[in-house]
Amino acid sequence: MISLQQIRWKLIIVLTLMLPMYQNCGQFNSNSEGLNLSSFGNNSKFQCDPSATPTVSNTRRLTKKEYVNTLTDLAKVFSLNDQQALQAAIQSELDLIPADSNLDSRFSENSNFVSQQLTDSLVNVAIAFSDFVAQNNTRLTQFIGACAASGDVNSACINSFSQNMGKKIFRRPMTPEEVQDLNTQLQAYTGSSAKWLVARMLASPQFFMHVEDTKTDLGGGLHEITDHALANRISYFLFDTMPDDELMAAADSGQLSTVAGVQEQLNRLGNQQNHAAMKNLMASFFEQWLKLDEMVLPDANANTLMQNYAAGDQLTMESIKNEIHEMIGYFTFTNPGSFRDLFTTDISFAVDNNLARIYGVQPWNGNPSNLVRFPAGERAGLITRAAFLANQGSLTKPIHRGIHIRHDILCDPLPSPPAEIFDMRAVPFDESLTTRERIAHKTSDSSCMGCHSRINDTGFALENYDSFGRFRLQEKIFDPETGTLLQTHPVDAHVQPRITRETSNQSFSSPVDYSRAIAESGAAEKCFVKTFYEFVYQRYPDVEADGCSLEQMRASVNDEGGSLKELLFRIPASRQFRLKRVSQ
Amino acid sequence: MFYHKASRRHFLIGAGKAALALPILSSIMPRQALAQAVNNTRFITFYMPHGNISSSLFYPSNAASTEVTGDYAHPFYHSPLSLGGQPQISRMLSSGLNPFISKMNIIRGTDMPTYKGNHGDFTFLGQFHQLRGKWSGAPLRDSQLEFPHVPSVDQFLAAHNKIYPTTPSARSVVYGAASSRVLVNPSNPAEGTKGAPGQGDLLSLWNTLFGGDVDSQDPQQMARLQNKKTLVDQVLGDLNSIKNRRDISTEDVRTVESFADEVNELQMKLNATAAQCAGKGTAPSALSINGSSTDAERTQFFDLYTSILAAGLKCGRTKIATIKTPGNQAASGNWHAWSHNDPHDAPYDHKEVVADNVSYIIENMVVPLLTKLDTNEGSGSTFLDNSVVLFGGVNSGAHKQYHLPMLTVGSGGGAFRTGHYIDYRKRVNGSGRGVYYNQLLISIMMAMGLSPQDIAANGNYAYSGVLPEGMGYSYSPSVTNMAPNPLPFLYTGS
Repeated sequence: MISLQQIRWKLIIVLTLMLPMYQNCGQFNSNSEGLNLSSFGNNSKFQCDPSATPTVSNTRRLTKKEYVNTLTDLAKVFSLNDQQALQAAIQSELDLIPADSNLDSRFSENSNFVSQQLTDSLVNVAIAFSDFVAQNNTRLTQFIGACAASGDVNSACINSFSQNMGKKIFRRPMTPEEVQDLNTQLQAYTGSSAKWLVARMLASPQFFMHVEDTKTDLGGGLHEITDHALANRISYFLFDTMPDDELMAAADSGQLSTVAGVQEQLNRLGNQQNHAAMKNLMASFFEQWLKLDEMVLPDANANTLMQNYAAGDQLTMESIKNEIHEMIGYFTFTNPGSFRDLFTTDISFAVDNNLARIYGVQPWNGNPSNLVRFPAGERAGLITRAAFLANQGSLTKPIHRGIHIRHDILCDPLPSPPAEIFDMRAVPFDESLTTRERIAHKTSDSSCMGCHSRINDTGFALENYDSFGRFRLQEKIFDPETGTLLQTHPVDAHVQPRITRETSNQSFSSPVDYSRAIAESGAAEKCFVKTFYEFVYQRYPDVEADGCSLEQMRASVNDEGGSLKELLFRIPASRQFRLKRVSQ
Repeated sequence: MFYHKASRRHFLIGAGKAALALPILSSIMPRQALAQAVNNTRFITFYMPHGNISSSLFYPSNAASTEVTGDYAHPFYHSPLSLGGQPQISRMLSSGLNPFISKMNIIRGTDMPTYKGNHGDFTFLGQFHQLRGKWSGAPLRDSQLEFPHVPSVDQFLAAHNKIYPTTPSARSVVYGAASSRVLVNPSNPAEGTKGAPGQGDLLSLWNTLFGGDVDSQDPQQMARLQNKKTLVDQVLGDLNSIKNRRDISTEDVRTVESFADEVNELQMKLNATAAQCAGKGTAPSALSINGSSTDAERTQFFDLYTSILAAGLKCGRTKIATIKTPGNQAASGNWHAWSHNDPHDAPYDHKEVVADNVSYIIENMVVPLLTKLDTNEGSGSTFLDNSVVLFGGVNSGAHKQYHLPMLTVGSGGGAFRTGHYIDYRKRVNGSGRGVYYNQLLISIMMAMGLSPQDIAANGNYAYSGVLPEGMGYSYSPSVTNMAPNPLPFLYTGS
């Protein structure tokens, strides 16, 4: 018989051995700002120190989307037929510009990757564009001016060009020195000087980069950017293209030097006809935040197993993205909602039959007065939708779901598995066990539980949804080889997920309650704000230096009067939005 | 077989350098000698994402049997590669490879220096910083033991002036950036690396290799080229002006410098006159693997891709190609997903599925390229002989980063012994640990013409294999001490 004393000592030894494992996951948090201010913080606000020097975004190139949109806007000087002809003429060169990617950043909008292929292509597009313009006098006149109709330009012609199309291309007034340089540099070309004027301008870094001028030295290496640079930031942030004429005129007149003037322009730009473009912006953020392009969906036709498991259901990325677009559009413009709404809403935005069927509802027809609600108690918010839940195969992935929530929803990343584990084999198939039971058993070793104690319940909480995202109370176990239904087990979704340290005693049996608790934890809201900050400013925030901006963003999207729309429009009006760092 | 082994090396050390320093001598040098003045070895990699390769399905069934002893980490073994009456070498190494057996090596028993767990794509080409952490964005547990940030081996080679004494059409081509990495800021490696830009579709690949070709007999094309040179010069001037502005940050300067570097490279390419390349064909459509929905379309894509790449390699437009095999689109399911599921949630073993995909890629992508490169380059050797093709992955099983499955084809111009199954594992108590994987990368870099000093001069132990105490697996000093060396038996080219 083992004595109580022996048990006590064994317990002490086991806990001592496990301590480093827990410390590993715990230590990470205590070293990160995430512990103090986000995932385990009881402070639901960011600390704003007005004396702190904020971080600011860097000079970057135009993304491919921005570049193409800007060229398209410049081409509006041509007839519709010529706009189409231009697109056909330069498309093969545009195709060679590398796609915006998240190779060097979390969001493709922030891609600042420079490569040989990109550089080659930017030069080649400029030349192809100039070839097109130089093909006839009408185009030369429209793009440069009547003075260029002959195919050549003189000093006066260059001067007038600089005040019209030249200003559009540089997205600010050209300086006299730049105009003079053009006069000089065009002498080096053979052939049509008008043609090479176009190529020269479109190949300029002032066109393909965001080169921002400054007007006021604020000290500490910070400068305030000019009104034209601000006009560019506003336009590229909201619309991915160059400022329209009214915004440029506002910059010309000094209107953008005042907060009221900026707000007036934002009010104008926020009109309904621009909602589609801004909805795309928000949808792009949500798609990348939720990592939709990394999802591998269940294939209902892959084999007999999947056919039996799917039981007629189908899921496509298009239907998933459509739902997210509709949801974001609704909460940004139709009925502006807060961050909390994103995690608590029971409105289905499934607009196609397949996804609606998965949710057990009718498709939404897009009419805001005819909203479709999920069955009571089944779903609440983003993490209970297919965009978050779906995965390949007939089994759920609670570990992946748990990590996704920890990493992306709570900004609470986890370290690598310990080096001692060399050979993790597949979770053994056992028809007598649920997925939860198999994974719980597999990760029960103390060397795993240091981190899996924070992963497993975070993912198990969503076991009421299968790999299609269908709500379930029973888990069906199929034979992996034949696809025959072997067993049905009740789903156990009772969890104690330790969303934050302060709420570590909370337990849940309902994914709806769980999602609501995440929304109300404060950690998820702050994580969302930090992620959106990264999306806007192309860098992960420093919670101390950027505390004021973060808090302003948080306040603009929280449940006390804030909304996604507020978030979207308060950022361009903020102080940080007009700052630039220069060398000290 | 060995191909102009001694003369190539000696020429590099002696007359080669002199010839490069005194180009006037080239007119009196024999053509063959000129060809040898620069090491023309090519380096092509096929990387299997995740790997998760079952050893029983990858290696030949008969163990390597001939023991090699000497001043090595420990005794190791080899056997001549043969079919042994079987239709193919192994379940994965399928019959398309049969004609290349004498030019191949199957290498077993090279190990990552330490544990990653999974997602160690970068490590395939020596970016060992990814080891120990960086999973889910988490910080390292032992930051003082962090491996340094270095460019991946392919990009280190691509930037080296011994590999490219003059500017080529493309320093490298990359398909899927998984393992190909460049430094974010070359002047401050601590800032990390980013994926190397690549060519994801056929037109991009073709254009990168041949898009700048100009017919020197056509006055219009030459005038246009001259104007383009002028334009590029002026763009470079613009960038330098921006860089020198006062209202710009250090980080901004780096962005501008990145552009300036690329424009400068473009300028040099425009000033170089590449010889016409007969095999380049015409510009294809911008077809990508993602646009290929059927097996037939994928096969066509692979055929065109390998044709363009082979032409570029043969015409000297590039020497380096880094390919992440497109497992996600392979014939029988989602390779990445199956591999990934295996250690976590999947209820049953998918090693057969992975094996199907490995064979599929070998038959449809690797073998076609090998075949197209195995044509006469002169002096009795083929372009393939004068290349090193590396096929492998960084997981030999679920979360196992040792005994990595590796296949090489080509002798690197005689630097590699070929035709062998080489097993570097220490045979004690079953199968023990092997030797550092770094040694294979070092072998390849030396086959490409770099000296140990060139590699060590980079100042990092990621390539040379000198690991600070406590960084790696627990290996004996006999293994650790050998880490800076090329693999014995395989590498013969000194």
